[in-house]
Formats: sequence, C-alpha cells, structure tokens
Amino acid sequence: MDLNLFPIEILEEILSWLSLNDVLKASLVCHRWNGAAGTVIARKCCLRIDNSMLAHQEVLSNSGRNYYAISINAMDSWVQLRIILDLCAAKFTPRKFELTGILEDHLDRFYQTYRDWFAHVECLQIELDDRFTDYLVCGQADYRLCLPKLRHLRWRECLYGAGEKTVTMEAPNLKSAIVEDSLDATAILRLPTCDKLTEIKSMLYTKHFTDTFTGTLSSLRKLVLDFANENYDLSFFAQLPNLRWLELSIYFGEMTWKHLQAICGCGLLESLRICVKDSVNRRGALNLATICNGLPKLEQLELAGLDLIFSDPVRSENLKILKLKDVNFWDSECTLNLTAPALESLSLPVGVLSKTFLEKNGVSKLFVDLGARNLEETFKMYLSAFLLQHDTVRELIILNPNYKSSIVFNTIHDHDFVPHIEKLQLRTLCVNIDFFQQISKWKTLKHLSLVGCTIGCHEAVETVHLDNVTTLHVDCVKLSNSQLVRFPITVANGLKKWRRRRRLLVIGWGRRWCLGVQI
Amino acid sequence: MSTIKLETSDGVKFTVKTQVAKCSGTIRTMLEDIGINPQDGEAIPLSNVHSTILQKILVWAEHHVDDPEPPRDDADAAKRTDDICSWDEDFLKVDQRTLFDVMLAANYLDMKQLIAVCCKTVANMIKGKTADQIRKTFNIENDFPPGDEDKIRLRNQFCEERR
Repeated sequence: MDLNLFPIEILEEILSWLSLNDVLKASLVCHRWNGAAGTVIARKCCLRIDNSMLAHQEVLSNSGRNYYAISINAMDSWVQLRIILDLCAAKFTPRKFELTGILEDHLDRFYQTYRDWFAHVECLQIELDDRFTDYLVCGQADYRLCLPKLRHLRWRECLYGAGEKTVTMEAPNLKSAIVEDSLDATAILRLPTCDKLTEIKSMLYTKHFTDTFTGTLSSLRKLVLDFANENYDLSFFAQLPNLRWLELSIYFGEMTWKHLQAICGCGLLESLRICVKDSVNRRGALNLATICNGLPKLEQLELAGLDLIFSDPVRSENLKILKLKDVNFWDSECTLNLTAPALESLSLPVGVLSKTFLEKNGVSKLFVDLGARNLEETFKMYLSAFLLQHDTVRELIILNPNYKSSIVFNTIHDHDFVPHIEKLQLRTLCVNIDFFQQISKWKTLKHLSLVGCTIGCHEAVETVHLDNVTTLHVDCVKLSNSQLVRFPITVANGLKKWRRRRRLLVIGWGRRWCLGVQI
Repeated sequence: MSTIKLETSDGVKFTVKTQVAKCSGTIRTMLEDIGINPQDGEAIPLSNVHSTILQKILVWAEHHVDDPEPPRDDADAAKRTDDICSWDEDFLKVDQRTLFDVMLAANYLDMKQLIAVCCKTVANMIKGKTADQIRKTFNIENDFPPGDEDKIRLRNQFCEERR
C-alpha cells in the first residue's frame, strides 16, 4: 500500500493538519505532494479579494489568520477595492501578490497607494490583460516600482492594444523570473538590476530579450527561451559567463552560423536543448561536431526538429545524455560516429539507429522513438543490429509519441535474437499480447513496465507468464478486450506495482480484476 | 435493535447494528436516500473493503457510535493534532499498511471522524521531518529533476513562519 495511491484530497487533508513550515518541507517530497501542498498553502494563507467581500467585511476583520499572499483579479472598481485593501493593510503584511486582469496603470496606482506592502513583497505574479479591462489613463508613460525584497517574479502579458508604457522594476534581490511578452510591442517590462538572477524563463513574441533584461546577468545559470518571432538575436549570450543550462525553442529552423557561435560562446554549458517547433516547413541544419567541440563541459544534449550535419567524427568527453528527436541526417549517406566515453543514455528515432555508431561507449539506456514504424520492422531492420553492436545496453524504452488508439496492434514474430536487456519499458504503444510471448524468451529481462499502452488480446487469450520478470509496473494500461477478468500477463513472484487506478477503472478495474492479479 | 448485513470484497458477511453502520456516510445514504431495504436479509455489498479492515473499522464505529456531531470545520481555528484520544491512539497503533487500508476504506465509507483521526496520525508521522525523511518513512520516490526543489523552495518561501 502506497500513500501516493490515495486520492489527492486525502493527502491534502493530511497536510492541512500541519504547520506551514511542515507543509513547506512536504512540498519538496515529490510532484504529487508539491501539488497537494500548493492547495493547502493557498487555503491556509492566501486571501483572494473580490468585490463580494464588501458585503462581508466583518469576516475579514474578525479573522485571526495571517495571510501571506493576496490575490486580486481586476482592479476596475478601485473605490470598493480600497475599502477591503485598507482593512488588509491594517491587519497583515503580505509577502506575495497575485494580480491578474489588470493594466500597467492599475499596477502603478496600487503600488503608489500601498507602497509599504511593496517594500516587503518577495513574490510577485502579474498578468496584464487588456481584453476585458477598461483603459485607465493616468497620463504617464513610464512607471518605476521599487521592490527591495522581491525574489521571484512572474510576468505575463496578454496585450493587444498600444500600451506604450514602460514598467521599470528596481529589484536588486531578484533570483528567478518568468516573463512572457505579448503582441503589444510597446508595453515593456524593464529590469535594470539583474546581477542576482540565477534563472530566467521567457517567452517572446514581439520584444527582444535585452529589452527586458537590461542589466548584467552575471549570476545567470539557467535560461529557458521560447521565441515566437523570426528575428531573434542571440548576441547577448556573450554576456552570460555563468550559464550552465540552456533551453531554446524556435519556430523556424534557421540556425545560422552566428546563432551557433553565440551558443558555443557559453563555454560552461552543461545542458543544452534546441527545439525547432515548426519543423515541417523549415528545418534547420546543425553541425553536431561544432556543438560538441565548442561546449566541452556538455553533459546533456537534446536536439529536436533539426537536420544534423557531420563533417567529422564527433567527440564529447563529458556527454552523459544524448536525445535526438525528430532529426534527420542531412546527407542520407553519412553516419554518426560518436565517441562519448561517459554516455549513459541515448535517445534516437528508429530511422537513424542503423546509421549511428558509438565508439568506446558504455551506454546502458536506450530510448527508441518508433515514429511511423512498427515493432516488427524496428526489431528486424534496426534494433537487433544496434543492440548486437552495442551490447552494454541494459534498459530499453520503446515509445511512440504519435500514439493513437486506432493503430494496429504491434507484435514481433518468431525472432531468434535475444538481447541482454534487463529492463524493458513500453510507452504509449499498442502491443499485441503475442509480443509478450516473444519476450518470455529474453532470459535476462527482470523488469517490465507498461505505461499508457493498449494491449491487444482476444477472447480465448492465454495468460502469458514471464518467468524471469520480477517486477511488472502497469500505469494507465488498457486492454482491447474489456471482458477480461484477469490481467493477461503474470510474472515470477507476483510483485507488481499499480498506479493511477482510477484510469484503470475504464477497462474494468474492479473487484474481479483485483482478484485476478493478486497472487 | 435493528441490524443490517454487510458483505466485504472477499465475500465475508457481517451483521451489524444499523446505528453503528450509519457511522458510514455511504451506508447511511444507501439506507436513507436510495431506500435500500435491509430487512429482506440481503447484504449491502462493500466491494472496496476487505473483511479484516471492515472488522477493524466496525470496532472503531462501535466505540464512537454515541459521539456527538463534530463542530463545524472552522478554517480559522488553529488545527491541533495532539488531541487524539488515547483509545484512538491505541486503535491506530498498527503497521503503515493497515493504517492506510483503514484510511482508504474510511474514505470509501465516508466516515469523516475516522478519516480525520487517521489523517492526524499520519500528519504526526510527518511533523518535524525533512523532505528526505518523509520519503524514507513512506517509501516515496523523489521524482523531481535536479534543481526543481530549489525552485519550489524559492516560490513557497513567502509563507514560511519566521520568528
């Protein structure tokens, strides 16, 4: 019995009995706990202000609670809002503001009226939105906010009109910022002091990165950039001496030499991800050797939606994880000869498996993206040969991101090849039960994991028994035949891990089914 | 005194005083709103509860059957976890698995008081522990990518109780 199999409400109920400091520690346990802790924190110390509170002022004034966060949606009816805010100002000092559905002018008016609050605020979330808001014109075009204690900023814009306002935030202690700009290129957020910023995530439609981050970014370690406009400029990378982690999403695959040089200028990079989103129309071509030579400390590299060029054999001393997703080799004749002694995990589309050769490697984990191919073809034409050549692989993960439940069921037929795989995971695949019959010949297989799969089985199906497998992990798995009482796969000593039972309900998880799988 | 029959997932039948069975919101609803008539001797199926757990839960319900209605949940009141009565404390001195099974069954049976006391017990197991100690206690895998913990810490810091 696992605490994480409980409905989330129970976990929330448990956490609600703890002090805030204990809830904070609980939020660091895992994703699920973090979600539950977020709800509990919001319930315990966040105050959502709206106009309906006007009628219940005494509730607020009698409350003995200390609210650390205040959230306000829309500030159109300022006179009414002020009555409540004055009440709050007399009672507590919030450290976080969530302001949504406002414009720059509203923000400035709020700031001017409650300056004391802003001297203490540590966390600020602002969503500007001009779709439902009446324009409030205060005349000024430049606003300056002083936020001495601000550590975390989230700024989102949804502006269509001409805002023509600049908001400058003096936030010398800012550590992390998330900034999403909008179609209104004239509304600008400016952060002149950035030297304590360690992490930035930014999505840019119309503006440039340097419009917002005007100061020096000497401490920046992690940068996640998403460009939706075509004319992006990466020359500011030269001013990021401490950058270790870079994620770059671009719409068009035009990776120029200049861009590549800019990326290679960040010589301390340990993790790099480049994703071309519109890879159907315009793919970019990238020389893998240039990246690997230019970034000697690189441990993680992920490339998606690009074509790769190889002029020379590629060598990378520290590379541990290489992910190539939706990539083609520029020249269909050429092969990837990679020397990466530290490589542990490799992720490839099926198509390039036969053209990839690893020298002196100890790669133990292989992710294979099926794409449009089926399992039979994959095993016969590509995978068997690759696994023979690279016999250090112990963990094999086969996935099909374009999974649709209508796809024909995959299987492999009489196959003599037996790989030395200890862990096999199938993700988002339609697999015929016959496939598992084949797998029962894999004597080294210990762990089998099925995630988001549909297993094809007919009426008279016989249960497949996997003698060597000690753990079977089943997560969101459907059976094509919902009448089945027993799960059609059994393993050595019956050790199983089930997750997300509620989804399994769809396929008849119930008492009978439970009995069928309990050994 | 009227009794009703309950049938657990493993097919065991229990004969229970109606009043005790009504500690469960689920059974109460079945009897009162849906109008299942237990007099005709047919057992109410509880397909999510095993007999060993129901046995335990019935002991609890028997003991608490005359408890007054709990006061309405007041969100402003400071929540205490040190007010578990000693009988309940002894009752819940069981291994983690049983405790969780009882909790899950109590949730299914909609027994608010029992859920609350179980939650308090688990909360007491969490209290004062670091994230790592909590993971060890409940055998939970840390599924955060490196760096994410710092991010969460930074974002939630605003609600830290500072002395």
